[in-house]
Amino acid sequence: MATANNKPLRSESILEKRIKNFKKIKRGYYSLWIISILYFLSFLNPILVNNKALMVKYNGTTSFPAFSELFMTGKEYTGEQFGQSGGVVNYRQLKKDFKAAGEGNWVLMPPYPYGPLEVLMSEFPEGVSPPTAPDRKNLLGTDTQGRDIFARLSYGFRISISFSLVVTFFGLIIGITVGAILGFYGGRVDLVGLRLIEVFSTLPFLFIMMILVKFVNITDTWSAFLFLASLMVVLTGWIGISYYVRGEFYREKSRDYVAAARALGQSDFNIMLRHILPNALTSVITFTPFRIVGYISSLVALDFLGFGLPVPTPSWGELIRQGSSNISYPWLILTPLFMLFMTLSMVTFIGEAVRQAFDPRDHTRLR
Amino acid sequence: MIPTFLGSTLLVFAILSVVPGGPLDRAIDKMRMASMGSGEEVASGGDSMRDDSGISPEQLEMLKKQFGLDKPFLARYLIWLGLYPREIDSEVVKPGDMFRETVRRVDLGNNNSRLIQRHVKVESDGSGGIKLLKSGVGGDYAFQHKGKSYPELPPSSSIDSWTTSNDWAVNKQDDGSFYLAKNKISGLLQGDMGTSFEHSQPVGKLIRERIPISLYFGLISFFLTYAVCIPLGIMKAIRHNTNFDVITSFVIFIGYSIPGYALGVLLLLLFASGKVMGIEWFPMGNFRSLDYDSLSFFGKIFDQIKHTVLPVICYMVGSFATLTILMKNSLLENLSLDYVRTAFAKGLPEKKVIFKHAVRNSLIPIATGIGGIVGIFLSGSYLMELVFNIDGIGLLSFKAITTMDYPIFMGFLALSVLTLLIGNLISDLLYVLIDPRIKFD
Amino acid sequence: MSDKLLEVKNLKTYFHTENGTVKAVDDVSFTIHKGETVGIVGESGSGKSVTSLSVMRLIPTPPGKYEGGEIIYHRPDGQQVNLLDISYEEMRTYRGNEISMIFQEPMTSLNPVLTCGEQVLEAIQLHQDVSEEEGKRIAIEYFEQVKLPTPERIYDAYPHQISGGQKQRVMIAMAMCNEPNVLIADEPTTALDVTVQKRILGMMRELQEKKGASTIFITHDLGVIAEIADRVIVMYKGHIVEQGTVLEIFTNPKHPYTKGLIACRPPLDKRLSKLPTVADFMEVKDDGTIVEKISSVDEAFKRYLVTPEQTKQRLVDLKKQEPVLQIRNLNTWFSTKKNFFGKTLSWVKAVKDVSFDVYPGETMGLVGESGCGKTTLGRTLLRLVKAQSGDIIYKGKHILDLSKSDMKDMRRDMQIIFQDPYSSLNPRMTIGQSLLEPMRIHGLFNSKKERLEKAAELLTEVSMHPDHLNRYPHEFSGGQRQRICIARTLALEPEFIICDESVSALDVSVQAQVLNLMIDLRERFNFTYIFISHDLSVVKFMSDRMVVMNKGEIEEMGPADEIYNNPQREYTKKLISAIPEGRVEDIVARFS
Repeated sequence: MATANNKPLRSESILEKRIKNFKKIKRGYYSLWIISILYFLSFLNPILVNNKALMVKYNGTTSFPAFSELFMTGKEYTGEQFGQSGGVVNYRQLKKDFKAAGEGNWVLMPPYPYGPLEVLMSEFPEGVSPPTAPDRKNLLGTDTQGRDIFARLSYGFRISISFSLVVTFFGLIIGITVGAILGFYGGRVDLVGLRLIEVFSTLPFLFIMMILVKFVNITDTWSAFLFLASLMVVLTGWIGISYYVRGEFYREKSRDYVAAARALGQSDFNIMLRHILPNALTSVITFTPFRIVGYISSLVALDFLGFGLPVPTPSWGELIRQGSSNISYPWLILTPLFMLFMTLSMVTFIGEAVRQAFDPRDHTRLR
Repeated sequence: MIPTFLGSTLLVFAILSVVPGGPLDRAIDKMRMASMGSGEEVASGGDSMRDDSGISPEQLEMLKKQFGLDKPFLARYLIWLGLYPREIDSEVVKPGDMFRETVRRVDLGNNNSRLIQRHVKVESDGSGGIKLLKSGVGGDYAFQHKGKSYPELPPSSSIDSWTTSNDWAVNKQDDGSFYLAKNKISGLLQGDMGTSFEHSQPVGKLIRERIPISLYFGLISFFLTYAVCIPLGIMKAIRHNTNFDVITSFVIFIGYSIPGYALGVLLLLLFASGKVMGIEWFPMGNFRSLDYDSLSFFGKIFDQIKHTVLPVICYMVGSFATLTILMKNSLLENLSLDYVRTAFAKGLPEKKVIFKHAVRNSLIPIATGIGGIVGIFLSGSYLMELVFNIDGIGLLSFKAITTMDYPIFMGFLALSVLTLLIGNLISDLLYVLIDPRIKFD
Repeated sequence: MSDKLLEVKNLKTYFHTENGTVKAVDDVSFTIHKGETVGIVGESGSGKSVTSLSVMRLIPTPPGKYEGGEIIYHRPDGQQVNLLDISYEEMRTYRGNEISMIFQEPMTSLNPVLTCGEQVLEAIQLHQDVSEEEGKRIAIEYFEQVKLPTPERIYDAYPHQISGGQKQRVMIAMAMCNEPNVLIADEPTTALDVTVQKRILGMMRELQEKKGASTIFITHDLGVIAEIADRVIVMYKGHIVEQGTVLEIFTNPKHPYTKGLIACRPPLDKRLSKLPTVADFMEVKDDGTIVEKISSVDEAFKRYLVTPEQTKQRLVDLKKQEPVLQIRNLNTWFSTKKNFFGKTLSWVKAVKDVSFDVYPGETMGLVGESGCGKTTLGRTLLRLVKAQSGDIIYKGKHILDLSKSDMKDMRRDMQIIFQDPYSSLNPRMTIGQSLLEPMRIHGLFNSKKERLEKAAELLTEVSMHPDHLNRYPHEFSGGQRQRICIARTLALEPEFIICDESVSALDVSVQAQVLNLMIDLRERFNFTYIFISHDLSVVKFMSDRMVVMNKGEIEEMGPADEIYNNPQREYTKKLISAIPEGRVEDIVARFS
């Protein structure tokens, strides 16, 4: 016996095989890389896209305003510190001033020296009012408030992706837990749980969110982010998953390997966690990228409707709203839409690739 | 089904009742602003002392009553459902008073209406209470509307026959006056969804007016989606892994990733605004042109089509990918099953194996999807209606949220939950129809 | 020769997969003559099914590919066609018309959304120019031929509304309705109960005599071959190793593999301590050459023969002890319908009032057709299914009353091996993880290292390699997986093991190896077994005593040989007579 096994000692797990499959699907694999790199870079936004200087050398002292924002040290600089008048430092102006003065002071700006919240109105030439079209300084132009669109888009990217990841993650955790319990124990628990799922799934969740957003009226970006994310998790994030996981658990629990584990004396919890869950998770994972797509566009929709993150948070939806009510300035719509479509397409490609990699059925055909 | 309906409406009702900023608060704000006069700074939300100073408890009570908020939460819900009487009219009277009681409202069109009323006399019953006497309606007096004659209220002095009225519930109040209330069970079950705060019209009427518009776009995109996706899915399955399959997949997935409303904004910009490419092939939204009624027959059709194309594309883009891929995968899976081999073994040609045997089995999972879509096409998509400025149910409800017009929102909710549940029922029925293995019970 | 019907010449069918090329059929040649029934026998992976599918050109391509050879069909008009050479269009005129096929899985081989009648009618109208009424008449006539009860009703029934045996009859009717010259039957009875199998084989024989179609009958079970075939082709790893008349094969097998196949079937007329296996007869060298080890089947039997006296003595010795397990009036019911408040309205009584004892070291057989409650009974004993009432006493403890933690301790002692080796191992755990799990649950050994050592030892115990610890179940064959399941069971060093159809999913030759392993372990560790199977020959071979179950109740109970030799109940007699024994006398009788 045991003949056919002249392969290496350690064999591939199903997951490893799937990851290998995934890497073979170039469109999805590269999309994952691009999105991941961009998302990583977006955390470096304070030193890449910012109106604060990376480094200021002034009268022998060196300061790093952008880095203190990056590391959230809370250290703020005032204009007086650098011999500028007014509380808020205009580093671009400072750079010019230092250069003109020629006293050996200098300013190093980030590669893209505009911030997402900064109103550039004062820098526009006489007679020009925002929004301004793309030019060499503001690559994608400015919005109706005179803020740089490129900066707002890149900061908005971080918020959009983070939001969808957070919602997806907690939705998965709650959904899987609820689904597992319903499917595994069945009976009355299942009956009640299923009703609950049904009730939640009939709710128009974006509407409910709008009502609650209006009610709570948060002005701080970070708390609004948490509030919206947790609302979305509770109202919709867990429902589809738990319904699905419930079915998987229900099916898997009747498999012999579960009976075998039980016969070995394994506890219910461990059976659920170690045996059924890994087997039930496959499809849940394959849906995940599509869920991310859904949450990104939900947040954009909320922002678009004016029920999302509070002003002046940089957000794609808000830009699209500006654009659709100011249709004479096409760049206001085109750039955020392009970003949105690109991002969502890439996530969709990842999803398509994951689905293919996880479900590599050889569809053979007869004739 | 019914528990689910009750569950979700109750849940939303509860949310709405705890959320401030509703019509009551808005009315209070208005009164307070009025009472404070001009020039004075508006009090901030945290300053409770000044908040209270602006409005008297009586006024508050009256406002609450006006919005039906004087009853406990559950009672309000039951009233809304139509299981508990609603107070539709009230009067405060003393013996010897006389007032007009509204019997009916006649809608004259163009937001005009006329009331049909009768007189009610309040008399002491001799033992500290009161009795009510009502006049008849009409008589010699009448007004005409659309060829029909409606009774008009005659002067009270001209009435000689008074009959006892039991239409009112009588409550004696501390100051010796009497509170008369007319109660009627009138809620969702009776087809009454309340009256909109903003529009001052029955919610049922507002929604009914807009159903055809939402349904129009919904149905067209529904049928188009199925008419395109199912054949496309079949074609993709048959040509699995060919260039055709790969390219259509690419396009479909890009389509999938674009939210319909965002696409709408883009399409309007590109093909309707004329701002980017100078193209103005389509109108900037709306259901029909303003001068629609004056157009010729073909002009009407052309106008309607022009207004339909862009919204329908956007409606379709959402479910298009899901449905096509579902159809494709379902068919592929069926093609690898044993019964297909049996069919080939009989000597059936490939086309017949696919269309007679495999496709029918593959449609089973598609049938379940129909239910979900029914919900969308009746209750409309507010985002799309907003972008294209289509005055459908979705837009009505969206505006109701911005103005906190709760009766409309509850009506919308009831409608959407109901259509969703009916959709599920349709799915189940279709399931039974297609799959003989499933019995309905 | 003029009576040739089908010639397969040097057929090569390969499958090109990611992991390399599988030569499923490699240079196979044989001839089918008019009116004869040829059995193709071999274990799974021998290429027997691929051969038959190749004849129908029903190999999915890709990954399959016909790499060479010819399949010559002699048409009734005398012309010869190479079926591998013609267009798909032309091939269609042969399929279902001149050559038709029946498949193994009647459950999935019919289209679920079309009625049985529609599907047969479709086949008729495809190849015969008849009206719908005429077609229906023909279909119903064939339904009668295949002995379907109420043919009219079944004509309008959907596949899910009839039994598995009935479905297979519909399939046969569908295959026969165009009076084909060649009928290919690919394991048509493997998925069915023995009694159903017997009836279907009888019916097929009758039909074959009447219609005269040549039949290619594919099976892994030589017993079935003995019942139906005129000639036998034995396949092994894509090659034909032997062919001859059925009598020749059974009386004078030449190839050691054939001998092994004949010998590894549990014999009913004698008692063996072990089953001879293919490995007893031959050894496969690294370069693929086969070396014969024993030349005679009888010699192999002689090695393991047990006398009736020895059997009797063993029973007496067993019964001297206190029973290790006592089952008293056990009932297991499932509710099939509940009212709104969760009160059960109707029950399926899977186990009804069952009582028996098991003695230490004994193997108690549990036999019955599918649905008789034997599996439920086994699971109830381990509390994997909730008992309705009754008592299970194991070593003086009332199993049904034990607390959760006491039950956990009890599970160390009482173990179960399941039927389906594919689903009883978690596909996401390596063999090592699966073997370690029970040890960890019960806190055996102090370190992971010690556990791993034990796991490696266990694998050796079931004749597998310790290197396999890091592999995943999907890389192993059914037999290997069942060994792994046994090793997992052994990890807890139990004393009492329930084998629930543990060898039913395996080929006869693999089955013999696993059975031998179980016997080995029984001797080494003095296990007590409850051996559950639908196959009376296997149960008889394994068991000291056996219980025959029917519809949840015990039909009869007694020493295994006694029940076989002298069955008391009609049901038992029916079960016994249905076994395809493959005895030479029967073959001789069939041809006389």
